[in-house]
Amino acid sequence: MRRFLLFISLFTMVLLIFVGSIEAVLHANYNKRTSDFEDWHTLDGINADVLFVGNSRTWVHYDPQHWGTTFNKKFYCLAQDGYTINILYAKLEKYLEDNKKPDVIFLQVDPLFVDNRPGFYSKESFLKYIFLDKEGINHALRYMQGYVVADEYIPLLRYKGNLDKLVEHLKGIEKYTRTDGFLAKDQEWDVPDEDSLYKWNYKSEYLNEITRFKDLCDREGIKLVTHYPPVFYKLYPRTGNEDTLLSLLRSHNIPYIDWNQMDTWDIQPMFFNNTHLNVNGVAHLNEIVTEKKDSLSVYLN
Amino acid sequence: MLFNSLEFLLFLPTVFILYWFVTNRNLKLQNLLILVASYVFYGWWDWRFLSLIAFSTAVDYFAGLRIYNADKKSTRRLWLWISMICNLGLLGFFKYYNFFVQSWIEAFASIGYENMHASTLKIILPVGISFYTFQTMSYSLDIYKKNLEPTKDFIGFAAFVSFFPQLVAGPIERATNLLPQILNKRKFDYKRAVQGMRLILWGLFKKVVIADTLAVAVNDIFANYTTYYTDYSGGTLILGALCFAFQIYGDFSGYSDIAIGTSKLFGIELMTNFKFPYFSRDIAEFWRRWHISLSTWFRDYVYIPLGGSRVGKFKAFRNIFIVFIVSGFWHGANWTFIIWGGIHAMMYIPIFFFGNHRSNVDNLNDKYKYIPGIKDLLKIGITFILVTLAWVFFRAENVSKAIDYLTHMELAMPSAHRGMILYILLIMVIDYIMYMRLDGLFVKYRAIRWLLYICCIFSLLLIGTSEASSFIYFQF
Repeated sequence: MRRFLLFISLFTMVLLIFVGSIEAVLHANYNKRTSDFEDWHTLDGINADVLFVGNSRTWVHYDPQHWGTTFNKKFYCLAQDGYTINILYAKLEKYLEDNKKPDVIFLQVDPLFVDNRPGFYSKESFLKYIFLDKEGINHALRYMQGYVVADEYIPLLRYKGNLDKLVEHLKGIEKYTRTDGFLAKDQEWDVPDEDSLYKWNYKSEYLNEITRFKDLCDREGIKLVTHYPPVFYKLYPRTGNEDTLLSLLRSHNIPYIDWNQMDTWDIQPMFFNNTHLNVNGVAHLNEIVTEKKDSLSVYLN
Repeated sequence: MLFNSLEFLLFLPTVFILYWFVTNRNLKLQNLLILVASYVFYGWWDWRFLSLIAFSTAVDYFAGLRIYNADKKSTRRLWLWISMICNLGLLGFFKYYNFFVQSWIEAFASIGYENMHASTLKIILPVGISFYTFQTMSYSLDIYKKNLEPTKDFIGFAAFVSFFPQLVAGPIERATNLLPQILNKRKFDYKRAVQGMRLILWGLFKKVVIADTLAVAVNDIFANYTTYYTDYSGGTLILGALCFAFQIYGDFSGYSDIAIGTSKLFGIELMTNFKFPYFSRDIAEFWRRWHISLSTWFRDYVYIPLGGSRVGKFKAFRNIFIVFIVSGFWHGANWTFIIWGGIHAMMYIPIFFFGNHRSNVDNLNDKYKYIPGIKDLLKIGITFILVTLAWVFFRAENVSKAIDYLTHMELAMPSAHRGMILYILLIMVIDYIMYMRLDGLFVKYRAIRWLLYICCIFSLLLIGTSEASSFIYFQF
């Protein structure tokens, strides 16, 4: 038995040296570089005055530099592609740990974001953080389908079936292309028209997540403003259960901006799909921001 | 609990330490540990179904004692029937109830009675029920046939029935092999434990790297086979059948290897379940190499009691047919399995008719050093093709889809999943090296061995699907 245990321990040590060396290289590279999808470890020292919080409908729409020069404040897009309000709550908590508190938070509220999309889990966006819960965010992901708890404890396992990404991370060749969390997409409409005919409902069970944000902002002395980013005009009337949202916002006295009421958003070349503006659309949105500067200033004071 | 899960990674060393360091001085305590660990292992999936194992255990424990102690043959037979009815009743209700009800409705509908009203039930199939019921039945049958004396040690017997390495997917152990090992003190053996660790590693490799990767292609091809043959060619369908042949082999033989390896760590030897079946030279040899614990079970408890081959040719054909049909039905309540069994019977009977069913009882490595002769290679190829074609029935959702799939196969370049050929070649080459015992060079030096182990572990970590997937034979 002693011999068996000795060899098992020895082999485990050799194995750990192999695996540990690879993990060490990976972690050294993680800290050096970042990608558009994995920016949690680079959230310190941003110190924005105003944060846009949301998913891709935030980071492809709101140009912090334009807003910054218009309102003379520092803006930043704190977003996560495709993820929902609960994950962004965790990301905001992380942000607040390492930065000065913003004065205002613009929280995206639309049916896609005020949801919890358990089936959306894309491990690629969290590969850098899963093992040993490097950024303390795993608690926000554990409910998602496809989340593997073993990834948190077994080295390299998170790269299973994703060797390309492992090689990429070992080489450290990722690039962060956004500016202040923002990147306008130079992309043309690329989805069938009938895609705009889906139902687009607020699910009541997730609306309470907004009050979590409200409570956090109240505790930290941050002003919370909610907003509905532009969608293509065919989709907008299909928004369901909006009354429940509006009554919740009224009851908590949370301001609400509906960008779809400020324009008709019926020019297809401004979008690359029903829910995302392209560079042309962003330029148009910036024009509206400049135009409505006075009325928008109310939310920033 | 799955062998390829984090839970098992923690469970196994914990039980190992308790087994050899805490309970090792007391056999009863050690067996109690096996029992508790096995119930935890099974209950991890669904604790409610532990009651079925406990019921089956209690029935056969008492039936075994009553059969042994009975003076009259009629009493012995009565207790054997009680055991059979209880075990087959469990199996019949949980596995076959809906199948029979549905088949009756369809049969009556086909002769004009459209208004048959019978309700099927939403029954969950308890994992491993076909395995442990067969194991407990073999205990009562062996006592009835006076091949075995019953044990009075209930804990030991319960540990035998529920022994966790082989509880849910075999090998289906015989009481004559496993029970004496459970009832006698085990000694730790270094060589056996190392062998066990190697088997666990190789089994995991076959399951996680080979079977789970091939499963992605198999699921896609079988789900969309009509698209593949209409839009591209039937070549992808051949690849799908090939992939399934190696998926099921990797999955099931992988499970068996892990089970046998785990048992070795506890000083217990389980029977071999697979012996390189895809290098068989005829169907008879295939069945001596594939799922050996089941085929020998049917041989000993169905084929031989029916008279085996000593009852004249016609009755022997009937017996062979019965065994293969029952074997197919054992796999699942679906006509596809029954037809699969029937096809194997049809392939076996001609060999049996000409008296060639025992012409390939030797091993290839006894005859050849490196490569088999052309004749044997040809035989291996033909047997493999026949087995692979039959697998299509095993995998298809229903009989008509299986026939449709088979009729649209064609010799052409597959349009998708071509990379899977590499995985198939990999397992074939490794299996061949192991079969022909050409692995001496690799295992001679510790450094090379350890490097191979590390490569294997890296493959487990990085190749395959990220979620631990269940084993195919869990559904049986």
